[in-house]
Amino acid sequence: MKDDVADWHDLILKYLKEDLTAAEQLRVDELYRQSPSFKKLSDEFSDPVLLQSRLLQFDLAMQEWAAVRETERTPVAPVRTMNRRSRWIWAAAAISAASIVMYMYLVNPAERQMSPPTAQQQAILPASQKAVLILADQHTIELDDLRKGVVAQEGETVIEKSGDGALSYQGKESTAALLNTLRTPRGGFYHVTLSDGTKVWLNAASSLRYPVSFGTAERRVLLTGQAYFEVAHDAKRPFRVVVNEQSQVEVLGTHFDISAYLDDNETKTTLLEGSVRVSPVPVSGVSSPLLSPGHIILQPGQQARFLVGQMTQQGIVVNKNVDTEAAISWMKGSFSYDKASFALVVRQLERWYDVDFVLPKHLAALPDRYTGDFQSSIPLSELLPQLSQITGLSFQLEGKKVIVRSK
Amino acid sequence: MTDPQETKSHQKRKHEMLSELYDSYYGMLLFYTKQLVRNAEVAKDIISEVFASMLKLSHDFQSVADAQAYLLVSCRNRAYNYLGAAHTTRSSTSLSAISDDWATDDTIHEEMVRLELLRTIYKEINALPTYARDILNLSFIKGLSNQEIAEELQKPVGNIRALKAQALKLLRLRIIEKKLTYTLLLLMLEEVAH
Repeated sequence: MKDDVADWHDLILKYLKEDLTAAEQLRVDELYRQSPSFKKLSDEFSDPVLLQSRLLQFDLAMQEWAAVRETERTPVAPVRTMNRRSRWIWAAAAISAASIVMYMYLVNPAERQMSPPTAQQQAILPASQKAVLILADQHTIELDDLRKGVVAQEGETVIEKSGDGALSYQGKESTAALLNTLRTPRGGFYHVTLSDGTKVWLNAASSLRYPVSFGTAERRVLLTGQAYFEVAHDAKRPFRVVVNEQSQVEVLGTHFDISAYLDDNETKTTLLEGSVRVSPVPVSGVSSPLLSPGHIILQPGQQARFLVGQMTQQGIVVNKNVDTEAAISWMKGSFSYDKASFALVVRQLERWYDVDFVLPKHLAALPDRYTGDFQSSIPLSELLPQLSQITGLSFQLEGKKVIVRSK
Repeated sequence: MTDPQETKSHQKRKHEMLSELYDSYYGMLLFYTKQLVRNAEVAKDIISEVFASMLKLSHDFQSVADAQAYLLVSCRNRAYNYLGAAHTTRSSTSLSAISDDWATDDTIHEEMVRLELLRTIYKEINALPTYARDILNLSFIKGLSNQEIAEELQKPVGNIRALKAQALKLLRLRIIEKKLTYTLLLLMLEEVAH
């Protein structure tokens, strides 16, 4: 039939152009008689009333299809990495409850066990390179939207975003006291090189405040949340990290991680290389807290922990021979836990995936300690089954909430 | 087909084809299935089921047209099942039974041509310049009278006839220019233009 249609096409084109020979005219008539299908369709499409009602129905169907598309798009759109195939499978699942069941069998049997996706469930992806830069004049810049190149100029300092998305400060060191703040949201992390060459990796839900240029005296930055520092050595200008505006870490060319999330209720300073002095004295006055008698000096492989609000020397616990890699595992694409409480694990996942865990009180206070590794670069739906295995609890994803239940 | 690698790439190709079809053919299937079941929601469910079942099918489709034919037959069978009607000999819903006979179904090919014609007309109308598109939309699709069109477009009634003829001529020209395969359309336009 297809060949016939192609044949007719030529004939009809000629017919329309009034370019038909008598023989061809005969062929058209012949074809018309011979093909019942042709005659039928030809009659149908020559009937204005029938055609009009069909076009009207067709128009309606197209509008309904557009509506279907729209409802598919709304929940799915924010997930940019979802590929084309899964998009329509997803859509098919969204339309019919029956096909949800099929979808789950066909596409991802592993996912089905842990987090039966509802029609609206979108993939929860791990943290990505996202941050907001707040300039000295309070102007804010969304860094993830930006292409590489110069981001801003503050005084004599040029702020640039490199190809891999990191931020760097370059220029003459001056004494202009211009402060910038780099702030990561939940589900974001960022890397910045300060004007002295010190490198800082900022974890999710954290902020770092620093001068665009350090000047000649001390180098001082303010941290909330968690960051890993690789401080450029400069004996003449001590590097100080003020944590939550309450305590202070002074360093001399060293690699260390500070985790000071307020909701963790605890500040942990882990030293990998060099030497740091942790001073639990409130530094509101910032006169010379380092000279106060209450400080602790850490050696590599040690970790100082103290509870927020208990910053006396007695309040500090120093752990020797800690797993320093675990402390900075977040930077290296994994979560490592060394006898961590369930609550700690949950808070870390909340920050990294920008989700909220909903858990009954008795589970929040579980005394169990967990040791283990997760990849931090996988979607949450793949991580939860592993967590379920370790903890023996069940986790169900509902939108941006993770419902925790005893099995 | 015993090579798992090859099977995998077949699967992948099929998935891509189905994904394309979902985007390009869903509207047509909805039109077709709705005509049978007279209920948009039921029709949508049927289409979803058909796409989902096609994923499970090991059958490899030779061409897009083959896959379209299969989609239409499957929708029709499910529609008949839904209606509980006896006017189909394919009472079995077994996928293999359906996939065995779909390729030789002549009425489905006719149906495909019918749908393709409708789509072509519809698409070409919507690709016309605004005035022609509006007038054909109102007359050709919505079925309004010249008087109603004149009111809608705020133009004198006397102009509508001429505008309509002009718009139809434009549509015809476009279709000739594009050398569309489906010649019935041209015939039809001849009829309607007169």
